[in-house]
Amino acid sequence: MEKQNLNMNRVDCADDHDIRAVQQGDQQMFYSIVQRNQSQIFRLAYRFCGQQEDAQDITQEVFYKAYKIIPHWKFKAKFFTWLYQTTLNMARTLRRKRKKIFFVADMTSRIDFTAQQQTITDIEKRERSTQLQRAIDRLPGRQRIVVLLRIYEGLKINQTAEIMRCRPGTVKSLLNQALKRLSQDMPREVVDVR
Amino acid sequence: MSDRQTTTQKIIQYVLNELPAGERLKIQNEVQASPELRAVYERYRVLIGTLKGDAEATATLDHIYDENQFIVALQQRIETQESRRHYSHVLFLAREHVFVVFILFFTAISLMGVWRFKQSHVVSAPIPYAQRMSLKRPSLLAIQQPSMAQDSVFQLAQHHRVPEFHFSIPSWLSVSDVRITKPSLVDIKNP
Repeated sequence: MEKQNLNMNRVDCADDHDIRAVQQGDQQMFYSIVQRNQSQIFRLAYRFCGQQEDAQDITQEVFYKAYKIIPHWKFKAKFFTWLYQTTLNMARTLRRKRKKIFFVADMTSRIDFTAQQQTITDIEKRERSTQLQRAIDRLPGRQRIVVLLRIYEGLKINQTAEIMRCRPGTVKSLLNQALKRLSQDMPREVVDVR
Repeated sequence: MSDRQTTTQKIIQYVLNELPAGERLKIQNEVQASPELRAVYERYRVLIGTLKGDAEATATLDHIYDENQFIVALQQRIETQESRRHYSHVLFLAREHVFVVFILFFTAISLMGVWRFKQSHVVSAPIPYAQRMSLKRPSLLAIQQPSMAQDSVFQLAQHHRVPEFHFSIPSWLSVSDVRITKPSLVDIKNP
């Protein structure tokens, strides 16, 4: 967790440096920002909406927006916060538009299991992952975001609060509610097997 | 917020390894002392552990995501959008200025019409008179003052004994506008 936060800070400094370079006319530095952040953004979008194509579209849209916003960036907020916020907003909008549960349909591709590697443990793992995601998907919007950011992305309370535009106390409370609900929703064997 | 809720949140933070050393020890003691809290701790430990395990398993999405391909696609998208934006900007400017262009065109046409109208009057003014005089030899004579022209033509007409004589220059024409570009009134043959 500490390592993750250290990385975050490093990424943030690098982003600021690259944004300044882009603002001074070095357009190539924009792709350095993309290179550094794209996998997190794709992963977040994918976890939120569960469809590879949608996640790719969201990631592209987020970075296109970033391309347009960077020349006017004022450094009042952290860039990664803006990226996460935009990704979540887009994913939420898309989800609302589709009005159906995505996770279940594309669940098998979440983990890279090739035919040769498949063992009983892998199948069990995949099954457990599917059930977990179904349970997370059933959570109310903000609780789902908290679980994704805090546990799946490993963000700190303050970072999550910044992204969700709420107080740290709200994040703690939402995570508490989400975990309570998850422990009630998920089959015991899914939680017990590790 | 109730104490129980606060403790549960602390337990979650404890499991997530986010508590400072002092508070960590306090929660540890509380959990050991109360069987109820121990059950809560155990439940969250297993649950968070399962979620974290799943997060690790799904952290790498390389099999469905090609970073380089993404950058190429993004570059293409940016180029396309930028050129489209430039084109739409030109269209917007054209649409904005089409009214101005139309007004300018209309004004130009009107001015040209007025000019031609004036020209035609300048030329045609002496013609009825010239026809009456049956003029043959063309020449050019710029008349400085309409009244002078009228007088001299009148004298000429008298000299040549022209029976009927009408001559007028429209009053709205300025002196410099008046030119006789058709066969001159001065050269009269066989009146």
